[in-house]
Amino acid sequence: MRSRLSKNSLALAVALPPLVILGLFFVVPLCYLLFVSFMTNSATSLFDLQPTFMNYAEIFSDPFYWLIIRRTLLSTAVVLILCLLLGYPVAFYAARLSPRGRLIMLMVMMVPLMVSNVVRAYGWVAILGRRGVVSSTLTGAGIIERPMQFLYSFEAVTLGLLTILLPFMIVSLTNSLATIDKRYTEAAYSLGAGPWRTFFRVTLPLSSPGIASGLMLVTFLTLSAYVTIALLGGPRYKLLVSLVFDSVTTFRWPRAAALSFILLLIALIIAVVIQLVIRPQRVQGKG
Amino acid sequence: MNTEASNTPVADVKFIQVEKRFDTTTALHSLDLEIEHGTLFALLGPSGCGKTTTLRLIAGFEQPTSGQVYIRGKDVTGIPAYKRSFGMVFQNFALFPHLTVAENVAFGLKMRGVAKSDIQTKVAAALDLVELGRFGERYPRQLSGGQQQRVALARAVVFEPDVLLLDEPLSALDKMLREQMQVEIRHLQQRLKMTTVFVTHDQEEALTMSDRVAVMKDGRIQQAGTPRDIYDRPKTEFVATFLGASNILEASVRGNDDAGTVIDLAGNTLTVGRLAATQGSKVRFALRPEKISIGMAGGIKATVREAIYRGAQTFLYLDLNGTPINAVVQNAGVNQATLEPGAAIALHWDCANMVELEPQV
Repeated sequence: MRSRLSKNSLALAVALPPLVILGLFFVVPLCYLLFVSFMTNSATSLFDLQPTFMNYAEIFSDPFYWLIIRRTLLSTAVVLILCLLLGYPVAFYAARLSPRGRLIMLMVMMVPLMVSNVVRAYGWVAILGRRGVVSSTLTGAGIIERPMQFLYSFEAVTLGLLTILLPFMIVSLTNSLATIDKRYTEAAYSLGAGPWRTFFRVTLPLSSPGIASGLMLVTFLTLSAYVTIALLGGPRYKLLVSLVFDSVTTFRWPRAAALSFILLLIALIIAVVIQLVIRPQRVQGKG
Repeated sequence: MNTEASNTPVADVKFIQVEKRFDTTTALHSLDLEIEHGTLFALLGPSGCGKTTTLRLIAGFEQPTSGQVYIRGKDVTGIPAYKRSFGMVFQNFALFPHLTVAENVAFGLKMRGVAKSDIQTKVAAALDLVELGRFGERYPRQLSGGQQQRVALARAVVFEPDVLLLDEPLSALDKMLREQMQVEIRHLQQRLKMTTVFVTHDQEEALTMSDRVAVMKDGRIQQAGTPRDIYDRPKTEFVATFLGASNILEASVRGNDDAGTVIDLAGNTLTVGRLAATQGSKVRFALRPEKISIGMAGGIKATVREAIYRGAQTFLYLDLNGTPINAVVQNAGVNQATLEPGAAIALHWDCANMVELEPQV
């Protein structure tokens, strides 16, 4: 008992400085943000010290905001599903490679992430724009009559997010799949389950920690992505994060704070749903 | 194949000239193996001897490079594991952590399309068999190591497979539990009369549990037989020393007389059973330390180098005209004073206990 206690207190001592920093620079500002979101907008200062629910009330009573919230949820959901469906086979393959081969493969997939988001988004602009590669190729081939704008659409934003976020999903899934003891697969075979049933009844559930963490990572990155959404969505296809930025640029800080909190709430709800559906905790702990 | 089975007893597991190579290394050299119905067969050997490969070939996790594998008289060579009929207990048990104990045990029945109502009764019966009837709703992580072991056993036998395979099933347990599980597995196997193949590197475990033991080394079976056979009549030095302690004694052949073959062992003349070896040639014998008894007079003269008191027994490290020899004697009536280093004592043993070893390759 004594050694357990002292071990815990040692762990606490080591964890304390980062916890203090986290508290000072994250929790305190967040509380302040929440406080601001209940204040009145002001033309001259950050806010007027008059408590109000108006910021939230206005957002929830405005159909435009609802449209943006729905759109945000939809694009997040589509990005999540595509990341999972496209990422799983890649991760499944990577997990079967030798540790060295796996490392090389994951490194190669990470290379695009080393390029700035801005550069990457402009790359998509050059491909999807009215005078971009896709449009001029299709025009040249006579498939479409006039140059077409592929930018500023749901598809453009989704594609842009997908290409950034897919590697995160793959890395998360690969790490999870690679740590599954192959004896579980052999145990399933010994019990008469063929490769498909073994996959759906054993491998897939056992990879649930990787699925859950990958989905959460992608969710948070999707909801907080800005450059991609601003450049590929443009003025025509905005998401919640764009509205936060718009409110800031028009100096409505309390409104921006309220929108940030709605965004945070959405992230939390999605995270809880992921945990409840995937239930990663059922395979954690000793086998 | 049924007619064949009714005439001569067909081995439940049969290897014909099975060879297994991995890239450049040969794990098994044309192995022939027959395991009869209802026996508990131990594959014993040091790591890398091919015992695990042999088990994995029976399971179908590996396919032979050449040769045939038969289960219950049926050629299963090339057939994948999930289409064979075997139950297996893995080293770390490999219980599915996302399924309850009952769901784990039901898995094999479900995969084989057994009716739901039958699954329930069979799972309950299997859990009762391993005395875990009340644990069906728990998850594997909520069980102790010994309980997990029993769930793994129940899961492996519930669908009545042709063969039960155990891959070092006791190595994850502590010594006390291991000895208890040895007995439990043995009882279970005898009750179900299930042909069982069991991989271990623990010679004591192999002797305690099995009907037959195959001692393996470097991808070959050195010797197969009953535990008593192998312990009492080892064929090679490896078998003699891997299973328990053994003195390896070299003697030269003097010639034959009416009683047998006369040999010279470190200056002592002994008569052993008739040997094929020619006069003047060297022959090696295995002699178990516990077969040697000590006295003050007669017998073979030796000097005590060291005596180690071990409670019930005394371990004696002796010198026989320059040849080291060990003996283990029961501490029933030994006078400790005579066993001081340097003391001269007399050794006695029945020459029938000297087992001639095959010349080393």
